Amino acid sequence: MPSIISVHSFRGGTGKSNLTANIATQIAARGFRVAIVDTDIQSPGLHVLFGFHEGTLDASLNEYLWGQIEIEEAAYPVQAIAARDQERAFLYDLNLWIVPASIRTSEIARVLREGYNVGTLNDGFNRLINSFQLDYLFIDTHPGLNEETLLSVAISNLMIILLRPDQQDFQGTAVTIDVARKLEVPDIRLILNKIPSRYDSDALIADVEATYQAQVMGALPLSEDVAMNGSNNIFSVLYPDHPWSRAVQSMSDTIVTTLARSDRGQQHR
Amino acid sequence: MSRIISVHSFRGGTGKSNTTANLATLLAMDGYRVGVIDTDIQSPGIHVLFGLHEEDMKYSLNDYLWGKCEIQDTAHDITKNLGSTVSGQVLVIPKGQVFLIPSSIKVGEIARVLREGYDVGLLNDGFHDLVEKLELDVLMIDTHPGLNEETLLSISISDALIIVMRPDQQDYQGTGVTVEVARKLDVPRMYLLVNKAPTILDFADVKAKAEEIYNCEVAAVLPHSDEMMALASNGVFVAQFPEHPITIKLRNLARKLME
Repeated sequence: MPSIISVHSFRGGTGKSNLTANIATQIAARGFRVAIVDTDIQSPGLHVLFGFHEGTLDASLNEYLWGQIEIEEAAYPVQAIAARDQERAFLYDLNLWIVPASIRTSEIARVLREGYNVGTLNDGFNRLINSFQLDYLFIDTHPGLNEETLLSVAISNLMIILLRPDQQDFQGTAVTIDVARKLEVPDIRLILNKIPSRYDSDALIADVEATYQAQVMGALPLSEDVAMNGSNNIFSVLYPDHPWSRAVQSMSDTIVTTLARSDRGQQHR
Repeated sequence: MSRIISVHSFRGGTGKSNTTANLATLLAMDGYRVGVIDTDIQSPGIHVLFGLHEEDMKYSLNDYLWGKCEIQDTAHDITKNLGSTVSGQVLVIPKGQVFLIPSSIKVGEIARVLREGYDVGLLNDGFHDLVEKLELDVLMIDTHPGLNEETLLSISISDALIIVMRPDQQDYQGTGVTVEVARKLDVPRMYLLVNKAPTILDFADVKAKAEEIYNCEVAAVLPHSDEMMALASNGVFVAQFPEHPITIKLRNLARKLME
């Protein structure tokens, strides 16, 4: 069964896009067929992590939502990026597709103004899974509660909620979990990100699990190295021995072995 | 002359709410009557910084947008919250005042606005009525990241716009979008604030690069701060660390905004 994994946070800047890109890449590197859809129409950013330049994105999720193209036409295989970008050669062997949202002001404004049929977005997800025989579909989202959030939550097998050890995030996470539970997501996991080194991570994890009655699947340190990389490239591939990367690999393993096992993958190996 | 100042960023987590709270507090310290309105209906947060708890929120912006109350009914005077820390340490209470208009943190109420939408004209009226009814010197508007209706409205009615960004590719790209929109909407004054800059970067370079790319003044480049992270939105940074280098830079920006 293919798995739909949505990655959320209530507030922005928790690291959703970065982490989604890293985990998806790690899972693809393990031989699975993976796609990521950037549903952050209001402020797209996932494409930056994969080295897409504005000019190279003629087809995006936006054109699909307006009925101008099929979703497959907005799905970019990472081979195309690997072929032209030496620093991303590691993408070459991966079965990984990226569906970006448009970064053009006029196109963002158009979706804002006209809205779109949420059912169309949902159909798009299903088409992607079938057309590319996906094992995993990751949905990168815009922070906070919005239509795309609610849809992705409603159709996901696994919802990952990201938070930083910050009061605004703590309060907002309570809101997000409330929604997820109401929409009956089968599985909800938390990831703590950007934890300053002085924190007692174990105590923090215990505290968070007790507060939200939900499991923490990973705790990532605040790292100046990761911050410096920013969204330039996939950090966990470039620096596999870094503590942050090890945590990402561990979470990726957890997903494929326990949380969201895909048995579809076995047909290909 | 009352001023309306919007604080915006394309991506999230740049530090808009913290910056808004910091600037509002600094202005109040200088004796001004300051209003702060949280238009981030999708993911409210600034009320946390000001120590306003859900149970103490009489009315929120949401109530006003649904016609349940007047805009001034949603204003909470939180000035005295700035005068102490969580641990009870006493701080300087501002000479001026800070009124916070919060957005609701209740799931049902956020979802309702999402579902039903609201009259943007009413939000616009609300901004102007606030300035008038509360006799504000400044109204600061905290916004949701990215392009959305509230953003476009607040930018179009602002006297000054502060665009917050981190020195990261996604932010560089997104800020281009925001600057473009702001120019089309004819904002009288616009400043960039580069925030959470890793300390190993050359800040002069960062400032020069941003000014060149966007043809817009960089009001300040603020470093990533361990103290700010440790505070973790448990209070307003400038109130807790009045002599910190970051506070000094923000104070300069606050004064510049009132020139």
